[in-house]
Amino acid sequence: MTAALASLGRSGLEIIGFIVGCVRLLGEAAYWLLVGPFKGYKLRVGEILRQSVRIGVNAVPIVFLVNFFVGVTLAVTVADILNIFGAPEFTGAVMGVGFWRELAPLLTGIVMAGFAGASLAAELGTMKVNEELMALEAMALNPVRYLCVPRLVAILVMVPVLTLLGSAFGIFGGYIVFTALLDFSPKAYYDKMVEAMAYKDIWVGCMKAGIFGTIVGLVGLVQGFSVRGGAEGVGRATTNAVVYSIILIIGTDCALTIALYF
Amino acid sequence: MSEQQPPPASTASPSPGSEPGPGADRDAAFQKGDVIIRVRNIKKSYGDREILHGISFDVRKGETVIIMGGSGHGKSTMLRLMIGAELPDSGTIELFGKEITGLAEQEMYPLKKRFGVLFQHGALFASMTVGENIALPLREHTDLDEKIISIIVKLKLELVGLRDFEDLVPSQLSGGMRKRVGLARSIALDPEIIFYDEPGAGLDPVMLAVIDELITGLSDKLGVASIVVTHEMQSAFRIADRMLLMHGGNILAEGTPEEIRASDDPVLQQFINGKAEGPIPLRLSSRDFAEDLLGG
Repeated sequence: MTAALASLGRSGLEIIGFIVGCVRLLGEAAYWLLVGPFKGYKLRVGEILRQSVRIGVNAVPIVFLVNFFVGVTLAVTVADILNIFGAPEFTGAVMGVGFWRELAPLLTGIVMAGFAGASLAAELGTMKVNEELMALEAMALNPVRYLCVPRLVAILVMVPVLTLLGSAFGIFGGYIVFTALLDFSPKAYYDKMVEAMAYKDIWVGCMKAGIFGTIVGLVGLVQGFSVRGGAEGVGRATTNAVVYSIILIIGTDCALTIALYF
Repeated sequence: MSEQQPPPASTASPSPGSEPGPGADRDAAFQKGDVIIRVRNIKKSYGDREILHGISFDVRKGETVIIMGGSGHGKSTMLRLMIGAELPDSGTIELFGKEITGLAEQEMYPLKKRFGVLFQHGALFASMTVGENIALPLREHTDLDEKIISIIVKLKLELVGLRDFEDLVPSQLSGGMRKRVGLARSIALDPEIIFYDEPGAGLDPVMLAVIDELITGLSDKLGVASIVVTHEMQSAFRIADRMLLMHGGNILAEGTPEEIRASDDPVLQQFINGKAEGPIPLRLSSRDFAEDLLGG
């Protein structure tokens, strides 16, 4: 009993420590991004671009696949039901609002948790194990400024961009189903989509994507920094980064959807 | 050994308002023989276990000081404290006449640019080539032209005998080579102090001698102070101006290589001669063996 309580307490402390770590990292990164450059600590623009390619551009194929397949699946399901009511063209409306606002941010966020979050945690963790982080500090280079800021900026910019692409891919998947499989007119799909959507849908989607990107980046980096004890520690941090990111993304999405819908 | 002298006038701390930005210059000129590192009564615990019980010593400019001692006797901890990677529980550490314990991170930067650290496994950045690793401190902390940086990189690589390896990445190098590149990187900014964490581990005897020569060369020609944590006794006696033996979190012995050799302290003799029999306990468990086995 005491052992179980102690273990519960330990996990509790671990989670509190993790949250504190995320908030601290966000604060420090904001300092090095917004204040640092005015104190003579250059922003690493080249590195931001390099990380944007690594985190963003390289993720395009998987973002395409996931959003496209979900788009196809959703369109088949929805068109079938709407057909019962004699209004199959409303499939376009469902796909438009659904993807721009809800599905693309969520799917892209989850894909990025696996694609970018895991790799950030593993990278930072390995650097810690190899004393590279200590070496950076001994060279008077702050790891948050040097490593975290470029990665966080890259992910904060790239996840919304990927989400916009993801929306297009998902809607394209629905379009294929609607026109090729069910043989309805493309115009009906497009018209109903435009009719149902508001600009708010797009910016809400982008905002969510930015928040999810920040979650993935922070969680991955904090997990990487907290690695202890070699390869096993790196593995654990990588798993935690993905699991924590996904839980946080879905939880935040749920809260935001409810809060922003009315 | 004479200790506890007041710091010479020339080592007075720089004005506290001095700009800690990247371009900060070397503020106090040190003469050969001036105390450049002053460690006083350093205590450090991890959890309930006190690793260092009040360590005090000095390192002077141009001096090569060897810190020896068995594994787990606080050598590496002492090294991490001196480079500001960890904070002591109590006591003071002065680098270049400036107290570093309790110094804010950015106030520490000008000091960090004046020392180099060779980590145990080189700690090269895996994502960069050998050349980029060495150029990193130059690019970040100086306004030098890329052409000059490339020349300095070649010079430093030539010093460690690896000029042809500039474009390789660390994973293509052997452990010993990585260490030599690490050394080239640690001297990129021409530091006044170099800390070496086990420079001999993983090197063949010839390479070890080369590194030893490099350490003595840097100290004799440029007046670099070297603090070397090592187990390699042969190499230690070759390069040392002074040796410290850390044992159980204290400094057990301190002196020139001759004094250390001549000492009749049994622990010291066991350590420098590498004997299994002697006063240094092999077993670290406190419980009785028989009791442990029979579940008493």
